[in-house]
Amino acid sequence: MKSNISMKYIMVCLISILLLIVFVFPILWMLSSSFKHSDDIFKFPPSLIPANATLENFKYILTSVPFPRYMFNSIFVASTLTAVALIFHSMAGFSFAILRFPGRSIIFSVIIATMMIPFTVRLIPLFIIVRALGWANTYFALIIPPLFHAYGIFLFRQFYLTIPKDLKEAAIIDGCSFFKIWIKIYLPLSRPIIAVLGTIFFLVTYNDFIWPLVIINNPDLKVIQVGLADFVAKRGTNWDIIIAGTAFAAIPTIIIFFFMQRQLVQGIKMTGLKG
Amino acid sequence: MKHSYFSRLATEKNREKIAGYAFILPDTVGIFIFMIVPIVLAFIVSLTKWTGLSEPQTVGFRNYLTLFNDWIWWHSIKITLLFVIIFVPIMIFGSLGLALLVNSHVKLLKDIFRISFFAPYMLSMIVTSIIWKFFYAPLNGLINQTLRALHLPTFQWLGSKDIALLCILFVYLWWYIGYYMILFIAGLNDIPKMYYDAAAVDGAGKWAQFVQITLPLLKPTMLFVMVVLTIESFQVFDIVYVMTRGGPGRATYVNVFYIYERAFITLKFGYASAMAFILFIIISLTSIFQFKYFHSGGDY
Repeated sequence: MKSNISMKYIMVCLISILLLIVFVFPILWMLSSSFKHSDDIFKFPPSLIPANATLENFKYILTSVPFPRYMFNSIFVASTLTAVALIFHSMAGFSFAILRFPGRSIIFSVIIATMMIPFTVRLIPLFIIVRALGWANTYFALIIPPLFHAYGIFLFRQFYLTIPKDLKEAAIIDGCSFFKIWIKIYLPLSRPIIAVLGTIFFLVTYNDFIWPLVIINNPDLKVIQVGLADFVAKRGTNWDIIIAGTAFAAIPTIIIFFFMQRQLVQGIKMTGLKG
Repeated sequence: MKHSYFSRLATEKNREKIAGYAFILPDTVGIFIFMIVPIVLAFIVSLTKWTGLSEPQTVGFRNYLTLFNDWIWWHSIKITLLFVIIFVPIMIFGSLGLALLVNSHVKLLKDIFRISFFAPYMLSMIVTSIIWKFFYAPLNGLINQTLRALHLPTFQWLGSKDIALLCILFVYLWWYIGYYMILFIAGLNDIPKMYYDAAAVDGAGKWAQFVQITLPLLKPTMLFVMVVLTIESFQVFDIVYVMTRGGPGRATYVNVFYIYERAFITLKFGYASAMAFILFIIISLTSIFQFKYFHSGGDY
């Protein structure tokens, strides 16, 4: 009986390890290949430690192609969006959870319902609206429209609902304004949810593709995902520099993955809750 | 005295009302302009002929009529449906399988496998697509080189009309499966242990426990995953853009890629909006159907 169980467990382990290779190898391969010479990249069997590592690929990426500029744009857009979204959504979540005003539940329901709108339907109208606002080819176009999403509002509200109401009552009796209650009491308590949502907002914005693709054609404002896709389309055969560019684009997300993993997983679990 | 207490309370209530509206103002205005107006606008634009530059011309429902006679549109819908129908079930059961696999390990191993299976999700679709495009390369890509070394037949992969869509589907799966695995792990961990203990006392085997406890109790998670996945896979774009551009010979020409090309390459905003609006209707009807059909009974 005992040996039977362990045989089964060995099978489970073998399958798990095989899958682990399938999931992790491509990522490690990308990182290591970015240091390889072009003729070593296709060598078989592939090695994860480059035989004679070179920094030439990165040197090319960073000097001959505006990758640093793309990276700056992406990080600037993703961080600004994240900061503004966190403030707005925290405010709205606070109001929907704590304050009483007529129409509260109707407005909230409508906002939640917008979560079901697929992005594709909004793509063309958003393009038209943003152009009409005169924001085409500006950072505004990249930051403002994607910022408004019910997901963050909903999660902030859920979080604030778990905070005891006595806090608000006590603060009101002390003569605190509502703005003060939000900024002095609720916002500092929000640290966990801010970490979760901040991580997700940043990652999603940084990795976004179709919106920046259609709304920006000024090369100075290109984000890294679009810059990278263009680069591949143009230089389809130069795999050494393509892989370096790809690795370069992945660096921020890899850093986030390592440092904010718990928050990321937490955020995904929370999306499941609304189901 | 009493009077002033009530009037203070009244102004307090008023203050709260004003604050309530003020706090939701930025998000409400934003959601209105960038979420609700676009839906209406999508429909209005779909009734026009418009290059996006000149004055839009109203053409009524002509775009929709043209659409139904456009074989490329039908083809793109067919490809998209094919993608959704194959992808969603594989993903649901694949991610559930991964979740069960991870959960069968002890603490440290559990964490290692969970993190590894989830790792691709941190990459962007663009990065993911580029890596796999390289692996799929027919001549010296890693997959064909491996097959050759094992003396197995090689394939054209993304260059083959028959399997290009499946190749894309696999990459999408690779990238996304860890995300849903995490949802399922959370769902599994929410099932009270005592149910299993009670079943074990009654002599139920592992399989019986899975069918009679795990699956029914995971139903809400499965429904959620199914609805979200369907919405997402109807809109697959990035990966097609980088890997095949709809090719070879429109074998991977999904609907959103057609919408993108019509709107932003050939500047047919009206026509593309009609397509987008139809897609919206298809997605909404599918979601409603899924909720209605799969939500009946079985809740705990």
